[in-house]
Amino acid sequence: MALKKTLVVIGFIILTVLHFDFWWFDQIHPILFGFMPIALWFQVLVGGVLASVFLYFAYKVIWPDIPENFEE
Amino acid sequence: MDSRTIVVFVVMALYTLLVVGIGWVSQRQTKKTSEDYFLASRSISGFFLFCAIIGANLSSFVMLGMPGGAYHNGFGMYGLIMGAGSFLIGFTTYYFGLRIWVLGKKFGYSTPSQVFGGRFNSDTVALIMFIIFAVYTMPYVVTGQIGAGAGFETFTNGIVPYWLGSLIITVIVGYYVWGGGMRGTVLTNALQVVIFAVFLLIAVVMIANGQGGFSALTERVMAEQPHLLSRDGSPAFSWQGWFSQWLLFAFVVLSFPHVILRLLAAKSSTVLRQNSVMYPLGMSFIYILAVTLGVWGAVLIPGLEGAQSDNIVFMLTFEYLPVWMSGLALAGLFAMVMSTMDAQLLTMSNMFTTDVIEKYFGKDKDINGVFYGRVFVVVLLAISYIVSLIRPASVFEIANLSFTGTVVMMPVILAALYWRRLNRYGAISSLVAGAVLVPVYFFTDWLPDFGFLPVVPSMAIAALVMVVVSLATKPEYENADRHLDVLNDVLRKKPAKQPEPEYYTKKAE
Repeated sequence: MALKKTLVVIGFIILTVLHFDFWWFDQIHPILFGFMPIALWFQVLVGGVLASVFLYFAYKVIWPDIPENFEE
Repeated sequence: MDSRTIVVFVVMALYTLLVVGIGWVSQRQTKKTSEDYFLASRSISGFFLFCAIIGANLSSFVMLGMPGGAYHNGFGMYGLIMGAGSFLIGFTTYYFGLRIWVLGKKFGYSTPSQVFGGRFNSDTVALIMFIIFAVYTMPYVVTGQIGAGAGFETFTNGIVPYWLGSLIITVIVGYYVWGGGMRGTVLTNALQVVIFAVFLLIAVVMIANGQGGFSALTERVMAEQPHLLSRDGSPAFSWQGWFSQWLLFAFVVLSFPHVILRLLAAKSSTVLRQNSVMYPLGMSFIYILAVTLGVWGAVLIPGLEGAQSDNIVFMLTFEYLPVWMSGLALAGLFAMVMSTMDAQLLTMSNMFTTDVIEKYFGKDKDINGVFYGRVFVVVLLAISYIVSLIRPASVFEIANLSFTGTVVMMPVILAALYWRRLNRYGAISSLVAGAVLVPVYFFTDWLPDFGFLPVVPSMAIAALVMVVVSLATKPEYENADRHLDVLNDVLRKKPAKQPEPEYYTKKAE
């Protein structure tokens, strides 16, 4: 379990670091689907697609199991 | 009256009937209790919760501000605004939303002011938060009325003037919020999300097809305005600006009271989890379309300066799309505008009723709470409508101020859910510091910003003040433990340790 949580933290850090993709700010190609330069598709990939996939698997590890009517 | 204007009127009439109809149905379903009117008795689930939160976060900023920004700065605007936001706002549901939801269910909280007033056992904290939320949420309501007024005037060639368009949207939103409360706004949000997503998608596809395809348009951008395809050299994409926007959009939703209310209204933690996973994909889809239209607009309708580009989506619709798309465009704009306006209005009404009327004037009957809430909706709309007629600034500028004003409360909002040592003195000091710093940074140059947006220094100072004052004053562990013990107990991943099976104890004997 500790390993899984560590992987979640690492995954979060990676996604955050990838958002600051300064190393190719001046690049345009490759262009995907005929209209998406790096400036668009990479950010969509990281912050949209990979983010949803990451959250799906991360929550299997970190999301708590809250019982029904816990407040009672 | 030309055919376009006729189509616009017909589509708007149909859309209005639909929305009013939903409001009427919701009114019949809404019970006359505060819990049901403001939180739909905490029963919102699945697709409707997803649309409610997405809809509450999307506004004229997406239809006007984002394409307008992309017109001048290119595809990089996506990463600047939503590259991290789509992920981190989704993740916010885990480290923040879930905790708020637990506390809401446990203690019966219905407003963010109640949550944090309860955390510190302090009416002062609750009142300061209410004031800050009210001051910085209302301008954002005004942007909706501005967007609607401008849309009506543009699409009808002035037949419906700006003031009348703004008034029409004000009355429509006021009706279904008055009648249906949270149930009304959630149902209309679902309709609205579908409408503006469909419009944006159809607009992108049709414009591309009309210009020879996606690749042909890209080649044209490459030839005429290549800087729109990269992020190099633009001051909008300096590292300070990139970091500032990451900070702002990563945490801004924590300070949106209308989003907090939707979290409180969730049916279960499972629903929150599903919403969190899907949020990045949903937001990405919408924003891809918005920035793409802005960039293409730069070559299809060149020469727009400054805030003129805010209207690029409508201009493209007029110039390049069939007449019927004008009606859908206007419906899409109104959908975005109304989905945020109604959420904010209901939230402010809820907070006024709960945090001011019932607290200070002793009105504790649910029926009276709903009545005062409805009256406050009317008052808020009247005030915001008058301000919308004045139009003090651009949509982007007003939104930026609104976001910053509430997000500087984030250190207190977040630390209250985790940090036991945080006390009321630290909270109050931080809230007041932020409330002073935001207008100073926005309207004066008295303080240095080192190239960052106001959100960065304001939040940094507010956080520092919170920590220093808390540590310098006496701890209030009893207040903190009242909330934190509940959270620690409920949010354990594994159940509490079970006693060993009888087999082991017998063997030892």
